Amino acid sequence: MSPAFLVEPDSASAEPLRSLRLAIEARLGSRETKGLVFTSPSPGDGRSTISANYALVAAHIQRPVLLIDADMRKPSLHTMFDLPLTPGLVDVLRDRLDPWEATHTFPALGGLNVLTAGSSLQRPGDVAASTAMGVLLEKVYNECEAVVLDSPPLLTAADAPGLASHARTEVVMITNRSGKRRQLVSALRKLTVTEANIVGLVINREGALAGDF
Amino acid sequence: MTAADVYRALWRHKWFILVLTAACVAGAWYATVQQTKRYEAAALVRVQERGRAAAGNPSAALQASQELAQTYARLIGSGALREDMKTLVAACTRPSARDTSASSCEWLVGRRRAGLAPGTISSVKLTADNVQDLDLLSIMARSESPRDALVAAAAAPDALRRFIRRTAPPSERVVTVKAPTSSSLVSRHLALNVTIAFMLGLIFSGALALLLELFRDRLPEADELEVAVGHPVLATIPTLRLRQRAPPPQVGLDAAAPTGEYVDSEEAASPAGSGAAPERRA
Repeated sequence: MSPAFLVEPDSASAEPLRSLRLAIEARLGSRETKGLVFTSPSPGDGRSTISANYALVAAHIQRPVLLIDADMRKPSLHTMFDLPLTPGLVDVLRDRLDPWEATHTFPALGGLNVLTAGSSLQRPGDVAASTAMGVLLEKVYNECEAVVLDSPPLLTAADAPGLASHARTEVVMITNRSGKRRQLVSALRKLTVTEANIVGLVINREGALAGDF
Repeated sequence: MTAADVYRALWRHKWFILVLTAACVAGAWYATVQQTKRYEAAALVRVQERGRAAAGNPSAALQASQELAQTYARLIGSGALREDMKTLVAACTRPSARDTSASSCEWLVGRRRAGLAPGTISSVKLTADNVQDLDLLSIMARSESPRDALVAAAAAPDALRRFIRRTAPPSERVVTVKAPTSSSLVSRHLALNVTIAFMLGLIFSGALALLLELFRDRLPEADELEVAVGHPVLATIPTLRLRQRAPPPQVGLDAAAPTGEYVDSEEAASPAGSGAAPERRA
């Protein structure tokens, strides 16, 4: 089965994601940020789709790029990329594995590296802000040009602030066009309280795609 | 909320507005069509006061007659003729009343007596209008039955005569100017009702759409959102076309930690390569 839910890098669908990459690059400027936590207020905002496609577009320009499924409650990237769920992030943290042992590389997708969520955990909320996670991120930040983390929705789990508490990590907030303003404000407040660095917002499903050239 | 915001909100709810307006129009059309048909017949009479006319003052007589017509129009509208109508119909439709050409039953000449009942005829709604600038009185009878409306309108002048005879001085008299010949279906105003329903539906659904918009807690436009939450909008992503293409060919990469070496998908393509699985670093 081919990786579904991904844009063709040469198609018009990739252009908004390229714009997003450029905007993030411009926004980060000279900051040493390596990890981008993609989160959203609620489930179904298109968080995983955007993070995966952002990583795909970035992988064609920045190399290497690592996409981590940090949604340990409801992982979805393994389905998108047709990968086994384990071994993944949780296994790497628990068994102290080399992250590259559990990473899958897609040469035909610009060499994109994908680390799935791994085995299920009883208390995934404790993992995001843990020291082990910090050590792991530090390692992959040193070895990658960019690391994209797909995290759970903010209003249902506090993983994103936990992830963003690590050094060189910032948050990209995705919101659905049909989402509620109150929810977005609540989610942003959660991040502000934990002093997470927010790169900016991405409004998803804003109208129809313009045609190809 | 600016005019542009109102326009945008209405445009966003266009289907809601259209459907609700269509429902209002359909409801008005159905209600109008379901309305009971009503028929109307009218008789035209002149109420005269003979004393003043005889005194050779036509202007005063006309004015007096107009005033009389107005008074009787109000009386007829209040149902004052009901009892006289009942008595009249009862007298003329009795089996023993064979001679309908008698002065009090002339209204019945040429009309079928079968099925006529005093109660039914007297319950027909009578109204009257004074004809503008004339001493004429138009008496209208409305009923669900075209025959009852016609008979009631025909009998109304005689019933009025009886009423005047009982209650007014003998100088007043009623002359039938035009007896009713047929009754007509009163328009149900279908077009008018539908138009009103359309206008009201449009206004009501538009107001409701704006109210929904107000309570929906919708995300504002990108520029307003930036100001509202204090963070920049990096991009707006439209609904993407996602692929379902053939699996990319698999090629071997350096198994060590990532080197940043990039293998272009075209370079990587091999004629025999068709595996979907990515490489697992080990």
